[in-house]
Amino acid sequence: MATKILAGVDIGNSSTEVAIAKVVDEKANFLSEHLVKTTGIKGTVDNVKGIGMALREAAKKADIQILDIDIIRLNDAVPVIGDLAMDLISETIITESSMIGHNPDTPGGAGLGVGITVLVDQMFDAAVRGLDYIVVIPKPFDYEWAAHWINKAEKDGISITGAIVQKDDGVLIHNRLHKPIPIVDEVSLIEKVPLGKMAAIEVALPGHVIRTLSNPYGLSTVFQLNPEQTKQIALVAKALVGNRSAVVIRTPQGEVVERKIEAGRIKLAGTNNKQLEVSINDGAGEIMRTYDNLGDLLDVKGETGTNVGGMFNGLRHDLAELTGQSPNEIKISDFLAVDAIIPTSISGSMAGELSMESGVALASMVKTNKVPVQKVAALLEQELGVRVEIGGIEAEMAILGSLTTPGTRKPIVILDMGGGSTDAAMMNETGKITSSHLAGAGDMVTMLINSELALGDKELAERIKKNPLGKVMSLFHMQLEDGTILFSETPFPPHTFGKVVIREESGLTPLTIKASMDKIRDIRRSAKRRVFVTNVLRALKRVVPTGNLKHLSFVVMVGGSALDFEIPQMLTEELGKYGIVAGFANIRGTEGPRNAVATGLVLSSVKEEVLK
Amino acid sequence: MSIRAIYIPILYNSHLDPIKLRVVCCGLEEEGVPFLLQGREDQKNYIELGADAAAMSPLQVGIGIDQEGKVCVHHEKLKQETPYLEDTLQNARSMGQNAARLVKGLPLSL
Repeated sequence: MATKILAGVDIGNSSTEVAIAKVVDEKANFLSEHLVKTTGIKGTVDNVKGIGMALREAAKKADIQILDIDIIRLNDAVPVIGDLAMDLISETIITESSMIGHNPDTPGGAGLGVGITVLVDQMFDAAVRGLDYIVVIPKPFDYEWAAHWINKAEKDGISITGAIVQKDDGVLIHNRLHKPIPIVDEVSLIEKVPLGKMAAIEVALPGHVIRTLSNPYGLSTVFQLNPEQTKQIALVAKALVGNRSAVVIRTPQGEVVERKIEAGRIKLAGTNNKQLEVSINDGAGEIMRTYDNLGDLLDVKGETGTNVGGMFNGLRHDLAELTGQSPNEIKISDFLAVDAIIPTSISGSMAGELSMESGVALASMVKTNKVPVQKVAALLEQELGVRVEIGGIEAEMAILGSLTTPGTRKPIVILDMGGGSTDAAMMNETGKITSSHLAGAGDMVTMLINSELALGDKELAERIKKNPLGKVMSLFHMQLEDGTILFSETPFPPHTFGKVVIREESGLTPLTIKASMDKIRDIRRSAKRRVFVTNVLRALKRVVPTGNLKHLSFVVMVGGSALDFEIPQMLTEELGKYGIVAGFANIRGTEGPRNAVATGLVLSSVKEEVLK
Repeated sequence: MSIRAIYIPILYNSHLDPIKLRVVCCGLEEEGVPFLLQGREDQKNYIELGADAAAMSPLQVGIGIDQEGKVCVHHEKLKQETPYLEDTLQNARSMGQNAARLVKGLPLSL
């Protein structure tokens, strides 16, 4: 009776997993498992720290010492490293800042006003009878005072058609006026409003959006523009669509341009000297179709001096640094392009307006022959004093682990969806394995969410990705994403009241962005769809011998992203269209989609023992 | 049947200078929610005043202000001793605004 204790260690892009098992004769009895965040880049010696932590924790759970472990088996990390980039392909520039378009909660009055901008305390000196004016009221002026002066001016025959206010005083001023006018308030950068210029102001009734200033011909009517000028100002109208209040100020030397950035072309090099080119401006769909037509990819290059050139150069540079190769040696073996919306602050805006610009996000990966797993193994052995060996190929281990899911058998196809890459592997009846590794997975989803919601906080984006949302409707009830209402016995804290919150087990995190729950949910789901649905179909096509997805029947999902609360369902639905039964794994009947590779590493050694 | 008036009651210690209440009221006015000012002679503190205000409020929300200028926003469904928000008259505008926003279900400005 030979008894051995084995540990399987799987180093992934974002997490390191271990499984410890007691092997008696040829039977593996799993004792414990643990998961930690991967320390350093996958496959580098920095990983040792994380592995040590994970092993110690797992050993503690199994009630053994690290030194009780006979052999540690490490995965032969697939030598692919990925990176992400994202850039604009169009940009709106409004010089001589000439617009305010925002949604203060409580603007005053309603309607449209056109006039010349004038400071509230200069009205009487500057105003000419017979002309219309829009008063500008900066912070130091009290609402009672401002309202008093506007009323007085009105009595003296000065025509005032609207007001722009810095403080949140719109309704207060409006309530004190004898003649109602539209008032836009909460204009933080009011000092930027040009004075003595023609301006138009529009406030919509609650629940409505402005109609005149967001219409190019509305603007041309208001300002009496010729067709040439109308064409120029059309972009201002576009930027104001959907707002409840807006101000447009004509600054004759002002200029609005939509600059189509030289986004550039990318060159795809394939086998047999095949070369294809595609313009980034054609969008992600066209780029991926071109890639499809090319077949096997050897390298990608972006046109130098353009945005995409910069993006690919940046990627090449990052990857060179990670692998210690020179940038010229780096060959991009796969990439995924995804359309993205990038909210960009309009240069020269007065209330922090954003314009939704189109962009493209890229994930790419390189194969490198220099991932020093041996070094990791040697250092680990030295630090822990336990024999370390490098186990089989990652895809093979993942399949072995996945086969412990109840209800599975050979032939089997697995999808390993992690943080950095989406991998597929197929094992046929005879045990032969084919696999594919594609760029783009969970991290890309995080990047898209971070960008499209203009969060500027990757950690927050990660939490939005992983958890459902709710909206606190009152002290005691919250609406959930599916429309149902959750009742709470204790009141929700004031900082969450009325807000969209991330619902984690540890509590509620309110979001400061103004987007509605539905909008955030749509962006979250669409980011997942754009990355995972696209990539899973790509990955599966590469492992099916016939290239036809209809020839597959069972797909098992593993990896961190298979734990997501909605990605597996999305894929089950999508793959169902091809008649494929897809679901996430339940490794050893207990672990869910986690721990497949670590489990496989232990089991593969058992099999070897049997062969002896 | 007459239509019942809708407002947020503001109960304040009647020794308080009424000028100081103006800022609380303008917070409510900007949000468009009506209010009712009522001075109280008794020696209740701001939390008790707030709870009384919430109890008599047709909107379930009330404001209490004591002589030292402490303010609370209270809700009828909360325990009497734990108001929803507490502050001083220095932030009176946002207290008024938040009481109104509590009724409207909008995020508070904290």
